[in-house]
Amino acid sequence: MIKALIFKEWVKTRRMFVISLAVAVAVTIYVILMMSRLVELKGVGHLMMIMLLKDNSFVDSCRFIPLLAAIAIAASQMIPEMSQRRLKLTLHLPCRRGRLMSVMLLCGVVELTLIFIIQLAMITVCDFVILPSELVARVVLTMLPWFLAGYVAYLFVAAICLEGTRTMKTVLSLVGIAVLFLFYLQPAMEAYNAMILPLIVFIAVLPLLSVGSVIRFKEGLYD
Amino acid sequence: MTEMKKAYQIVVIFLSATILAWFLPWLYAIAFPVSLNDPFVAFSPVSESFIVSENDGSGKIFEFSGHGGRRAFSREQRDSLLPHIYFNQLLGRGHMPDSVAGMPVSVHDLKQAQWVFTSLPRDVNRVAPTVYLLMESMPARFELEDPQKYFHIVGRRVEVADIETGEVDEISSERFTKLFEQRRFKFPIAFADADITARKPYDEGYMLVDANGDLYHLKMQVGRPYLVKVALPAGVKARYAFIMENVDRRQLALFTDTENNLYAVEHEGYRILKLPVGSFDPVKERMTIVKNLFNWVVKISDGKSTRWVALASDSHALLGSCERDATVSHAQEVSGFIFPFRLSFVSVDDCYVKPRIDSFSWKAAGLDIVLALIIGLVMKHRGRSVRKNCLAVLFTVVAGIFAAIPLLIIKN
Repeated sequence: MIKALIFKEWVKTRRMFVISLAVAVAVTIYVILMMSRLVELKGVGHLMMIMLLKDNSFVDSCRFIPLLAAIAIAASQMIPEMSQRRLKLTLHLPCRRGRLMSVMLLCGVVELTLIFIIQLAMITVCDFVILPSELVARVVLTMLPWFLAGYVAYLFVAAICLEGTRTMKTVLSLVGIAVLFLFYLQPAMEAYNAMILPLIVFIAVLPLLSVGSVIRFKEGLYD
Repeated sequence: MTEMKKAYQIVVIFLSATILAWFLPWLYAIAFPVSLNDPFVAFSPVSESFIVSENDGSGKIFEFSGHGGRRAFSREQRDSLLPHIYFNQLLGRGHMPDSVAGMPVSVHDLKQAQWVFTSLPRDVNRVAPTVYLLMESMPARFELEDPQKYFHIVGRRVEVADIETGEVDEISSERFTKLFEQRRFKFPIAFADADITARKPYDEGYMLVDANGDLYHLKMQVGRPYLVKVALPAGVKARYAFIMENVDRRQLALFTDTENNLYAVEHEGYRILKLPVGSFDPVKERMTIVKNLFNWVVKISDGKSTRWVALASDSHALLGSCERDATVSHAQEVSGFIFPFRLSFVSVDDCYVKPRIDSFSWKAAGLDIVLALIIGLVMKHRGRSVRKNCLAVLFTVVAGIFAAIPLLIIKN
């Protein structure tokens, strides 16, 4: 049953997953090429000076990629469930509702994690070649909140898609946009260091929104 | 599943209230902006008093003598009282004096003696990189160049490496490590400040504060390390230090101690001078020093008030001081009656993102209680249990309008 469920999620999301992965890899290659070009023209010293003195991580172009990938995957996964109320069929499968939802959400989270790991690995390897480890860690810590924003976006879009009433869809959308705003408030490097752990705990609570939306749907609360 | 639904309701309402506590005061502040223009304050060597030029559009110029009286001036009179600042205007009108306060002056002297130093909390409150670029302070061609090396601390070793190749320079690393050991530098580096740019007249490298609160001056000369432990007065522990590199080469650095006293380190013999400006906390306060041939005007502000202190240029003796509290606008007063507190995640004074709850206002208690009563009635009308009703009322009493809005909108 679980295998079949995973396959169903993969069939729904594979196209968007491949597109998101391709976009993420393309933007990452662009970022790496821009850094290489600067190193070629001005030297590593210039790159390090800008990084240290101007607080520039050179990976700013990647900021919204996790967010966009998450929205695309969540929408491709959850919109088909709600079109013609197919979710009702899914909920009638011989599997506990909590387990069902967990598998569905985990599929999306795993796909996102794959994209994020590939993107992060490409940048880390490239940075390690030219920069001291302290600066590589600085870049990674600067990028980390963007990946967390991806998970938040995925879980909010999933909850919004699964929600049946317009009022709650609006409330969740507004709250989701506001929460995502939090991840892009401060451009300074390592600005979110103190927030990483609380944000991970917060993300761990967010699947509750999708579960709540499904409970409400099951109770007949939809327009 | 009932438990799940309860948890869902709590999360949605709490999250909505949190978002509103963040966004509503922010939107209110955008809708009713508050001007924070401090006046331009200079110390006149002619009248030996502060001359205040308002920046609020009124164009008022007056003297602050400290005796309560306020003499108003025209712009032309102000120019004559501050010849060290407005010498271009005076020259243009042919009114430039040959001497000021008994001292013969020329425009060249006035220009040479000027510098400005600024310290912002944002410069201190950030995650500082632990890689330190090294400039050559005595370049072979006498012109400063961009740094070719950097150093970082690996355990108790100072590792110097080439920027381009990343290769560790073992000889330099050995020399640096040995010198740090000889000068009894206690790792880790608690604070470091340098101005890494080739666009300055000369390089003085870094001012470092070690884990013991000792102050050090580090620079690289002809590829070799130069490290001096600055002798601090008894009992003084340095906290933050700022390199200066001014044109007049008199002061090497400024530093504050753990008691928030401000000191200047002179180039000659690393002499320490305590500046009589009162308490200055670089973490919370911004400071601007405008120095001229006759005096230093030190401006220190924390957002609630601003004070100006004038010091004699040569002896650093106190010449005078004045203070002004920031005015609270009507919009700010009204916001105190609406919002019980304010949640924000960023501040102009630092580069961190973290939750900060401030601007607690008891004035909002009236509105909170009224809203709590409304919420109580609405919950009763919706047929909620007494326990749920009490929780909603209590939440509204604490979070006021931020709790009331989601409780009214979210029905099921």
